[in-house]
Amino acid sequence: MENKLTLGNLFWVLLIPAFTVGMGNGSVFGAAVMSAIGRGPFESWGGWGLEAFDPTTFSGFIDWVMIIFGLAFAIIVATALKKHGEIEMQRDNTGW
Amino acid sequence: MLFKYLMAKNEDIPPGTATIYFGFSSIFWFIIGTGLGSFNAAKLAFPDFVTGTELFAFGHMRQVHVLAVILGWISMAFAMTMMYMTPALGNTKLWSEKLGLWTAFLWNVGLSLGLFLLWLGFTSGREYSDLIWPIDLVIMFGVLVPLGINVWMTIAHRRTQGIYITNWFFGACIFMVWVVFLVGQSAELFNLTGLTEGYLTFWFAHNVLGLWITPVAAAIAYYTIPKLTGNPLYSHRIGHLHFWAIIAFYSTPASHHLLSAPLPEWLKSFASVEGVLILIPAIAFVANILLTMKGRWSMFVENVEIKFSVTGVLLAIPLNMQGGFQQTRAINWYVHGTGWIVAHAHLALLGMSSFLEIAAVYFGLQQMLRRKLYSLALANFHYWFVIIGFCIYWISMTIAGLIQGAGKIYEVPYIDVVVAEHPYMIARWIGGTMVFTGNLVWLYNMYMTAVEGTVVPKGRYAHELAYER
Repeated sequence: MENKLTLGNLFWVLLIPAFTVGMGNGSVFGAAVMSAIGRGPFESWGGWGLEAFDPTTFSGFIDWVMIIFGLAFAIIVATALKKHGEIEMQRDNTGW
Repeated sequence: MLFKYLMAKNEDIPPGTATIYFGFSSIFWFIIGTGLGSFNAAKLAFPDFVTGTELFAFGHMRQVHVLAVILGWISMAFAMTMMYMTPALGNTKLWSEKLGLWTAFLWNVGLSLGLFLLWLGFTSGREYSDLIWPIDLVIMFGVLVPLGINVWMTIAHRRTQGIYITNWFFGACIFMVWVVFLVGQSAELFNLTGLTEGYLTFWFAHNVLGLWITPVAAAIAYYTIPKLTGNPLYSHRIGHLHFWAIIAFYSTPASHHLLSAPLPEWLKSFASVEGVLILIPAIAFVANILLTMKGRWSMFVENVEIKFSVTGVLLAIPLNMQGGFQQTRAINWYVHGTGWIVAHAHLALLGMSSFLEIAAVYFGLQQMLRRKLYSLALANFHYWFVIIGFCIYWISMTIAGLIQGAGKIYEVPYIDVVVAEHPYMIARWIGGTMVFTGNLVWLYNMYMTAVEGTVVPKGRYAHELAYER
């Protein structure tokens, strides 16, 4: 038996469901930070070293927070599933 | 076939008939619900789409979409799973196949009538409990009461010693939805108005989600994942923790939905703290299911029911992260009344919950029809259309909500926010239409499974054969 959980097999699962899960978590984190820190006037809040948050173009803190969380979760899932694949392959080959 | 069995004696009705009827009804209502969703989204994306007719105005259509999905698709899929999981887990037959069929029949008739009247404008005017009281009575006594009797009597007549966690949830959730429904609809009976009416409306909306939709969906996963993988549930005890934590923490005063209303502050704070504690059952559930997958993760890429189920469980993570924290005062201040909430509601109902039910309907229909799935390729097409459509919808609405939140807090002119949101409204329509299209394919696939699917030999499971090359 071969390892069925290769990156090739997992690509779409990682890109769409896993990435979305991470983005969901990132959305909460981002909104929490924006709510906690971003209560100043519009001109002064955009996150650290960023332009002020602009509702009309959606530039600011949370857009890249969601992407980073999405990426991080996809990497976590990829690593975990790759490891699972190795264990399942080993079990199928040795019968333990 | 159905009408023949409605008048037949109980013992003459083949086991599984009620399951099959409920299964196809639920898919039908899923198509109606998502079709209406797609139509409504088109109206938001393209304001000139279908104008001039009052009946097709957003205000007439929106609640029909919501209730078609909740009472049609989701609740009927629940009833479908109860019809086959409860007896299977009790090693017995369904208490009354005939009662099951009559429940399905009355449900379809009552809901069709209710939604038609709602569409015409006969409404209680309360979100989520929009139906007028005569229809409420049909749903209570024609649907929820007979469903409860059937499930409880099946559990009582079980031939197993204990009660598996899925049946715990089924039995308890039906009881809780009786209470929630009766109390929730009573605003009309007692002529409540103003703040009390608003509060009771959201007490109902909160608890119908928390004590019916999410726990029953989780109960389904407790059955499908062990059944399909062949692994025992990782921990029945954690399942009980999940169950009792839901009872303790989800049945909150629900006032965290109305943080800006003039309700007592202590009531809002109490609800908010319990809202964060919802993370306990959520983590228990997700961990329990993912640990049950141990050694069978390859099924995540190979088996379509597992693919749906595990995706649904994974989506429970952001769902509860959002749900637990967005109802705190700090975050609610920002996201309340924006598209974020719409995105979150779809993450719950279309994301977590629907994915778990779709898997169970796939599995249950194949089992009860004793037929192999007609086309695995179409099932995979269905999966990808629903997940990609859902992602487009959810991401675009989350972003739109954050734009609205920023616009609200920073007092950006309203029309600027409307203009800024337009692209996301188009994305929302595309995502919703993809889900609708996927469901049309699903109905075709299941119909062909019933008509032309290879008969499954005795002693085998349909899903085992579906993946044999």
